[in-house]
Amino acid sequence: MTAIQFNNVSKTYGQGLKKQKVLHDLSLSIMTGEVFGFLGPNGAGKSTTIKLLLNFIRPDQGDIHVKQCRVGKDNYLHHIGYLPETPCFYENLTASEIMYFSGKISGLKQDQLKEQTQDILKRLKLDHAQSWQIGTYSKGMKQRLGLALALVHDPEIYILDEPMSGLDPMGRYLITDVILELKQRGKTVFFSSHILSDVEKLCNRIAILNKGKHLFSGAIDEILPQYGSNLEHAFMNIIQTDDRGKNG
Amino acid sequence: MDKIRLIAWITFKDCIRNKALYGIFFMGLILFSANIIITGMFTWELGKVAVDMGLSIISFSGLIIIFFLCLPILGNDIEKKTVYLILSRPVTKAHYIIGKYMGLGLIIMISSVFLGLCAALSVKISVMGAGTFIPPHFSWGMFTLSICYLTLSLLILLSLAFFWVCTSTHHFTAVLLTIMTYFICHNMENVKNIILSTKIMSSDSLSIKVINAVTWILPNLTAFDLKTTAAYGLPVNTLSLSWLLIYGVSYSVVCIMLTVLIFQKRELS
Ligand SMILES: Nc1ncnc2c1ncn2[C@@H]1O[C@H](COP(=O)(O)OP(=O)(O)OP(=O)(O)O)[C@@H](O)[C@H]1O
Ligand SMILES: [Mg+2]
Repeated sequence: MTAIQFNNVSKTYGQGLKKQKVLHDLSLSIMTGEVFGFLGPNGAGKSTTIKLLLNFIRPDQGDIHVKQCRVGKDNYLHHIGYLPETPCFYENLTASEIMYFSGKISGLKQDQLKEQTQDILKRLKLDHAQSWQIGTYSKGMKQRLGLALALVHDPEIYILDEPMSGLDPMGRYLITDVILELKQRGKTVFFSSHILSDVEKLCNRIAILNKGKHLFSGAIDEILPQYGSNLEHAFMNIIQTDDRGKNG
Repeated sequence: MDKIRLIAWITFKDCIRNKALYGIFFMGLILFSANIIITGMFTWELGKVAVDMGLSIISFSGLIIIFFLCLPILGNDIEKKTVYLILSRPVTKAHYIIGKYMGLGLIIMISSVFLGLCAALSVKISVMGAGTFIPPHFSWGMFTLSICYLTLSLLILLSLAFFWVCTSTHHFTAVLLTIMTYFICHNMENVKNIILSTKIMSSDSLSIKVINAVTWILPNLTAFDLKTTAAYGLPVNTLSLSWLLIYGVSYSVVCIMLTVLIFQKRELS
């Protein structure tokens, strides 16, 4: 079954002279229970795609489906746990307050919520800081709190925009571990990342995007012998071939 | 409804812990002390001046809270993408706007209550000092009523601020537009009075009617200013005050509804 489906999605930013097409006719499907890596150089349009998926912005063309629901028409957000690229919080609140808010607004019951919050914060090594105001958190702590918020209501689909950014090796390990556990429990994870070793470890399939164009999608072992000896080489090759093709 | 309450709750909690709010309260307290000292210099009509000053201070502090606290909070939400935190949950944009308005509205009400008590105290102290003239019809009821209407006018201004933040692309533009609206609102009445006093136009000519209409559309914030009534202890017209209440509440409601409509169209990139 498909968890997320993009059909011929295009997106343009700006108007008039500043008009810039950042997504060209993207079609992609992500199956239920899959960990899907979304790769591409800076400015490729990864975050844009994710924002389209969450209905923060609307596509010029095409449609997006999450499970059976059409984005922009039906209510589907209760299925989704989202981690933004740079998570921003209300800085005068504490971690446990924001966790309480997020769980409650996603429809969790009080007692369920308490347990869940404790477990998740402990897991992400934030339990010692749960009564601190978020303004005092470091970047990595905020990132982990962002992930905690995506996990709190135990959704089926996780959409993570660069979950590893700003984390120390320990934090990266923690998050990899969390994603692996989600994979075992049959959840769907769609995440963008620049850290190819993590992608290699975690993903069933990947997609590569360059300048808004979808270049490749498939399993990692489909890409490897054909384009390069490891994922990093393969990624470079694909992007460079595409760039050369455009210039030449 | 639960969702709106939750959003209002975190907005309120975040704002009440903001250090700037305490700065504003502190400034209010200093002004009240100044009020006591300055009114001490008037040998008569002391009560009147104290009441007038007290109410002005509440209104001034309210304006500062709107411009330097509420507007940046809302602007940051949209610019720094803190909204993603809320809108990636199963809530609508209407929930978000209404919740946010209620949270910040509550802050304004609390500040009015707190500063209102301080104002009352300062009036009491300055009147007590000299055993002086107290306006014949002065009543604490009227004093409280004028604080309520003042708060209502602040809430209207807040709804206008919401409207401008959600229609403009940058929050500084929104601040400018809100200030502009505020100034125009406050001067329309004067303009009308000047035109009327020159007797160039009669009070039922078309342009006066247009000006009148514009005054009420832009919200007529001067109508909510009952300072003079309170200070001089003038008689109140219950009927017109009730109309004013209905007008104020419906104005805010309509303004927030329009904001929601526009915000729903807006992309949050
Ligand atoms: N709000 C915006 N207005 C105009 N252009 C934008 C806006 N946001 C992004 N863009 C443009 O869209 C393109 C894609 O941006 P996007 O943020 O999706 O890239 P990305 O793949 O997430 O990059 P990164 O790896 O750096 O996060 C970029 O060229 C960027 O300049
Ligand atoms: Mg990005």
